[in-house]
Amino acid sequence: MNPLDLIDLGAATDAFTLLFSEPSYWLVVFPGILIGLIFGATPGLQISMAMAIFMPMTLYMDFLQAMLFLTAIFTGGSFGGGVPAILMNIPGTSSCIATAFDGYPMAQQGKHNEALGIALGASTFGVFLGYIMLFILIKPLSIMVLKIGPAEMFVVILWGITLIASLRGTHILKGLIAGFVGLLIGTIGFNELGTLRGTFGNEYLLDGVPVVPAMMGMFAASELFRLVKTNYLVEDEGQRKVRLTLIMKGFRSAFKHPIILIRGSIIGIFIGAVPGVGSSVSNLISYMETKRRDKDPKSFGKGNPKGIIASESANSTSEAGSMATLLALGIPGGGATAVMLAAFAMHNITGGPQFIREQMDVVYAVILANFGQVFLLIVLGIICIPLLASVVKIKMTYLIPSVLALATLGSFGLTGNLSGPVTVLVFALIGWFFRRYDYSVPGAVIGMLLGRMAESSLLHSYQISGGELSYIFERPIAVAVLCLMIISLFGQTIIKKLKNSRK
Amino acid sequence: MKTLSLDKRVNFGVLLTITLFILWYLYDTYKASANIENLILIGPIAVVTLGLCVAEFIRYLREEEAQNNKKESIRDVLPVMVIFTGYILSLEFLGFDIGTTLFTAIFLKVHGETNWKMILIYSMFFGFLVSYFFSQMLPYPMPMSILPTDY
Repeated sequence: MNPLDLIDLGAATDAFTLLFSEPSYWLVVFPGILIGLIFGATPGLQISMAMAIFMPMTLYMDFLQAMLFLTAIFTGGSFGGGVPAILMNIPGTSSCIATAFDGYPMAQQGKHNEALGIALGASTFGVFLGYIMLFILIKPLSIMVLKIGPAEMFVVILWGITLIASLRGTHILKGLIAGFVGLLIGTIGFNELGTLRGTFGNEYLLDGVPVVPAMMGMFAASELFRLVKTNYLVEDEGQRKVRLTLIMKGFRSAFKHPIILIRGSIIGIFIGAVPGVGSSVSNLISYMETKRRDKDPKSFGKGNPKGIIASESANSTSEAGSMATLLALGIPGGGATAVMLAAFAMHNITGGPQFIREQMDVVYAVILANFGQVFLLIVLGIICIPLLASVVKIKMTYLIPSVLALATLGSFGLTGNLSGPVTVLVFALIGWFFRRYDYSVPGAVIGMLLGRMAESSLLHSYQISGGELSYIFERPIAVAVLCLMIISLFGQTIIKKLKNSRK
Repeated sequence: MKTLSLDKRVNFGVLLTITLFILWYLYDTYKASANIENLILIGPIAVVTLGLCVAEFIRYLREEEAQNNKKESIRDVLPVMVIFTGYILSLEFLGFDIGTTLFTAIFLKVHGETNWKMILIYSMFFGFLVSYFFSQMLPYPMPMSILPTDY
């Protein structure tokens, strides 16, 4: 099929004219990206929170301008979230977990400039390619999303869970134990049928363990405990410098790995389109795939730039994926798109097939404007990174209490009560013991993140199938994803064995 | 009989705590409801993890004591853990403004900062600034002692 058949060229031309008819459309993009960057880069402040806070301002804008403003926050935030993951080992959102795996070790090695540049390069590429794919594929993608049910979601989550095994580190058994304990912790609280498990009678745990504060405790606070005897994040004074040339070098080096970028972006858009799963899983799968296919998989987790490229390209492309379901079906894939849906309602617009049919020019205008946002993100990112990277120059005596306090305030922001800070404390202690005795902390965090999703989708599949789990094999998309997962897990080993047997 | 080092005993304690947690969680889940729907994920995962814990116990008993000199000891980390725990538990009474200021000041003092002026200026500036920023950004009231709040 000719890709041009998928595009409504008339509507695309109208969109172009619409975008450049009013300069005021573009005036909101600059502050939008800046707000996204600040909220993304501040631990505990989330993109969805930024959009919710600034949404009332869109009441005074027309619909297209409001969409440009909100998607600009989304775009800025998708890169901003990677900044604390690299500099402080705090993935501010679940979509940046894999960025911290190699970004933080790079920062510790004094390669913070390059790491941030790489993240910016991969993020901007991801957003750009994601919106190109959305421009071409919005119609088929929306049809595909309608066919996604709990069985497909479970298979996608299962793919994410396999990352636990690949992050086992030096102690295989302990790595797996940590991952599975994380999965069990992720199921604490009410299940879908209203059965309450493992809350110790604590009312704050009824909805489960707050995952992002737990993640902040496990990753950041426990790491800061470990660093208490060090003087600076980067011990070598010569490597503590913030250099624009190195940031630019990192930015360019992201494009030296086009396969990783494209693979991450494809994973990002398709998994990003799965409501509720989205970028939380896509960055993990992209990371896992890159690690598995690399000649030197052992270098991952120790500061391999390819890890950042894989994660950032996938999580930023997921923005386009979640926009596809929002625009074409009116289904929000996550918190940020849920706020956008509310903005739709404020302007008396309902997303879905009718919206796509009748206002295709507006849909295309939103997509085209995002291409422009990519270039603004590059400029603003390059201006802001030197300021953000200066964190390596701060003495640990000052950095540790400041970051711990930020994580505490941020966790309060996530839960709205003191259960957030208490969760940070509890998981900081657990994280320290896990880290100290070689249990995989990333494995445990991934388990926690996916536990609830995995249980819900498995339960739904079980109920729909009437107890026959073979139902999964009757779903073509689920079987296709399952095959992809098996190929990605065992494909290379089988090929190697076949090659060896021929020799 | 050889006596085990503190490090190895804590290592054993961590594994034992994990095993006990899994056993308790499996029991609590089963007690809540023995339906297959309730145990569909927790049951198999808990059983597999318990198996892994048993295998780790066996490995642990067979393993020679490893030297872990490069890693930080619990004695180094304990003061930070105590200060941080105190900070979190006092937030309800002290509020974020005073709590964060005190936490930062105590941490700086304990970790070798000798310049009192610097301790006072930084902890007050940082504590009040971040508390004010978050109170303005978040839609919920926050516990505060001095800064205005509806908490």
